[in-house]
Amino acid sequence: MNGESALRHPLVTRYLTELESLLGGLHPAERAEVLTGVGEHLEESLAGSGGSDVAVRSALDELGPATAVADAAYDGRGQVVRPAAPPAAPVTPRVRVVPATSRSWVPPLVVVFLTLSLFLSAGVLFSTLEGTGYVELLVTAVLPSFPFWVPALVLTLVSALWTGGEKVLLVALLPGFTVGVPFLVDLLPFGSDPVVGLTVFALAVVAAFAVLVVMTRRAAHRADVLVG
Amino acid sequence: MCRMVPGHEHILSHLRRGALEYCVLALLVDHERYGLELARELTHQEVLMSSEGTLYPLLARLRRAGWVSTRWSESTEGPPRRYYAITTAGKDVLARFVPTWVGFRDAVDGVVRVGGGAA
Repeated sequence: MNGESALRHPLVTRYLTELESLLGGLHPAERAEVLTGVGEHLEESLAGSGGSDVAVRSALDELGPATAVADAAYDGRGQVVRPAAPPAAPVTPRVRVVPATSRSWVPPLVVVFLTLSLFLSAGVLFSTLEGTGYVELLVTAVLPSFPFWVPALVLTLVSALWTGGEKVLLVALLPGFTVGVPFLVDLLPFGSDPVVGLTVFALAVVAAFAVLVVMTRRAAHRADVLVG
Repeated sequence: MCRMVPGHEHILSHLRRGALEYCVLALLVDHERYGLELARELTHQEVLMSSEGTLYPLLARLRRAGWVSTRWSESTEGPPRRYYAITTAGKDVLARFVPTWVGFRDAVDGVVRVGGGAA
């Protein structure tokens, strides 16, 4: 069980729900920020733990009682009314101030745009004459997908939902695919055989989509953690 | 009638209130750290902090005050994580805290010793 799915363990859910309720007297943005920090802490401490009850209990013990965390949050605030009763049903945290580029619509939009870009480039790749240089190929294949590729790039680079390395991967995806496929085909023996070419192409498509899916899921999870 | 005498934890929690924020800033001065790392360091001897979770409201306050910033980054040990870093304003505040603290600590030490209490 990785850290992300550890957050769905019933003991963890119960803890976070109780904490959310205790933090009810706080400004929603602050409440969400504390919950996010604690959630990420648990993800990290339970990563690679196998998600056993023992591991979860141990992690929650180290975290300390939810009441202690809430006390720390209310420290120095004087007369804040703090709720006492436990909640009825789990409510996900809401944040008022999340940057637009970190919202949950960003990952799907980027994946759709990059997919369209890949399709358009693939189309050009198919119809390109042999003997075209790589640079010329790159330009003619990437150009038609500009209306989708450029916004996807900008959004990816600006968004806080991907790390630096992930952004590099997403940016390199289209050019890598466009140049990589013909390069591999040229490199392989029997490369001029259409079957070989098609196989390389198909494998590259699968690889590109695998990367897209993994990156999108990571970003979607981070967006979820921010907005609930 | 019985009188409430503050216990060890109670006294400690009051003392922490004055200094813990600056301890967090001090831990970030040399390099950024992620949440779990900070929490483990601070709870190591259980004096500065007794439970890891109390770090997060503190970090939220520090971030809102503009003394700490956060960013996502890859890690060599697993999935990417959120790192906390000290800002310029945070460094300024820490620089002002340190001499103030030293003076305060010395003054308390001096008085407590003179009073004959265990030091």
